Amino acid sequence: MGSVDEVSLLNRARQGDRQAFEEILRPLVQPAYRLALAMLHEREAAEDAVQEMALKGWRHRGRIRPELGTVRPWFLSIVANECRMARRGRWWSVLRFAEPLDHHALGETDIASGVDLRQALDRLPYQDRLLLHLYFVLDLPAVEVAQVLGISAGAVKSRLHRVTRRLRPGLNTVEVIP
Amino acid sequence: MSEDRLAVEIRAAFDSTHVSSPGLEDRVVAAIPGERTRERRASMPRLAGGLAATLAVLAVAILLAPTVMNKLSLQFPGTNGPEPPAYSLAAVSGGSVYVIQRFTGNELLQSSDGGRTWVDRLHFAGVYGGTQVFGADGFTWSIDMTRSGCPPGGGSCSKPPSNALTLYGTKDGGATWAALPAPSFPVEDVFFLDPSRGWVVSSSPETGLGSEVLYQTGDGGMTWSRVAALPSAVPMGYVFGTGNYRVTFSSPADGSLSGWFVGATQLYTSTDNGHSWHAIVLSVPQAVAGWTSTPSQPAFSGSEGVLPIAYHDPKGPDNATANHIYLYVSHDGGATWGDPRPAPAGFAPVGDILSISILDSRHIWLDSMSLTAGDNVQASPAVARTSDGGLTWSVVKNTPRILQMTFGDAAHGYAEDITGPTNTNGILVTSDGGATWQRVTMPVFAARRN
Repeated sequence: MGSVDEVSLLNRARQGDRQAFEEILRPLVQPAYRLALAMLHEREAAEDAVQEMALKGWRHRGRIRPELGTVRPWFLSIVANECRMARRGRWWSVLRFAEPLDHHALGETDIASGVDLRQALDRLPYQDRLLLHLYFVLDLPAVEVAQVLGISAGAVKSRLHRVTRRLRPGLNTVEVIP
Repeated sequence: MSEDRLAVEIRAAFDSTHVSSPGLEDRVVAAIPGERTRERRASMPRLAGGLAATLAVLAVAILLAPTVMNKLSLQFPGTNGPEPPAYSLAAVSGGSVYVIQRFTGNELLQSSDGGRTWVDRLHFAGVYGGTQVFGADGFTWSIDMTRSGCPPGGGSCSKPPSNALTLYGTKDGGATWAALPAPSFPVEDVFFLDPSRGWVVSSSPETGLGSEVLYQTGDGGMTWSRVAALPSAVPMGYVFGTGNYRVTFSSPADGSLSGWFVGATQLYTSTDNGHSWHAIVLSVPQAVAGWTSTPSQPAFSGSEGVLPIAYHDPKGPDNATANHIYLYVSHDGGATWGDPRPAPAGFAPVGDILSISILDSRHIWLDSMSLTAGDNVQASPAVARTSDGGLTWSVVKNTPRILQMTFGDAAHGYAEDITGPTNTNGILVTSDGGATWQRVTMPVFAARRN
């Protein structure tokens, strides 16, 4: 739950107060852009995803939940959905995946020992990259990551454990996740 | 390796491809439809000399020939250059369509010739709430969202907005509107069933969702009385799709009264005028068994009803697109629901734009900014329509980017869309049931007030 001011701000935004909506939107633009760029690797597409986040957030402002004190998970889930749909569009497939990567063919040993971490991240399934970015880069708590991904907090922990073990087999992440 | 070190490495790996986007916040905010009161007010003192003289000439031009301004795309300046007013499609009734035009206030415009000419009927302040018209009678309202206790030089305001309701009524087909007594409680939403019976959802800005109280009027908004608290079941997460938090009432031909309240994932009904509510349990189609449901309000024609439910698979392999809308039907005024009928694939993308327009239990329209169905992404906006209650559908692709539609009959309707590179609002009209749309030219009445 946020402070009284935050809840009031969210209430106003939910009721259609444009100024209040801007106030809650602005701090989320750069994190959203950072996430979109990491998922799409293209500045223009990432900016489009953030723009869509703002428009859809405004259109669906009636679903803002003031009592939760934040709209960050909701907004980031919109961005994540936009990125997913952008990646699946035909134009994107042609541009980005002319030589498709078969991430299923990558074994744990390949990722952990042979290749650069950045390449390993790029080869992860979309949902796993999204998970890592939300948790490690944007520093979202597990409960907010869960809201963005539409899964339980427990599933976030188990997925983090699985993915990080693929990246670094010696790590036991679950024990340190709050 | 510690988790801290792995986190640093992962962060560095992601950031190694980062490209900054300076000024993105301003560009994103500027593209949101709607008025930007703060910026517009701040921009006015900057006008000086020749620009002010030019503005004076333009102001005269507005008074003399408002349509000229619209045709030339000239508006009062804001910080980001010419900016058109915002629009909301308010109501369609008989031969009239009502549109709200906004700069710093709300102008209720009425057209009785299919959008060719417009009359400015009412100016009112506050955040526009809604309009309902029943023949010669009607209501339009706004909610005060102005904070108080704000320091003169800027900074945080000490008091939340009042959520006070401003309600107007008409009894002559929209020609004149009179202010109705203001309720003493904060208001979140308003619904009228007819010219006499109405309900208000009250929720203070401090308490938020989950603490709503229902009030009712039986004299067309002259007086209000408390009914009961609404169900406080609040979902655990955000829900996309067609859900909302409104209360509506329906009265089938037998004269009974049913209330409908959507929390987020649960639909409640009341048969005692809103005093008590119970959740509706629906049979779930096999294709979406176990999925989260997001209900919308039902619509009725006599005892025939239709209830849209969006199903979302939160555990699916792709929770952005594994969604489906079903239309449940009722033949007994909403006492029982069944026979779920699937909408066309792609019209329920999670997190995407979706709206439903229900004329009656047979004529229903869906629109989507982009169709998404499994792995088949169709990037164009589309409209789907049915004239048999969802048994069969026709889909029109490459439509304008429609936000909201309202139909007066099966053929004639209006829509609010977003258009152009800055995503401004516009009003569209159709005379073929939504197959084709034409843009309506709107005179800028709102500029007179500023």
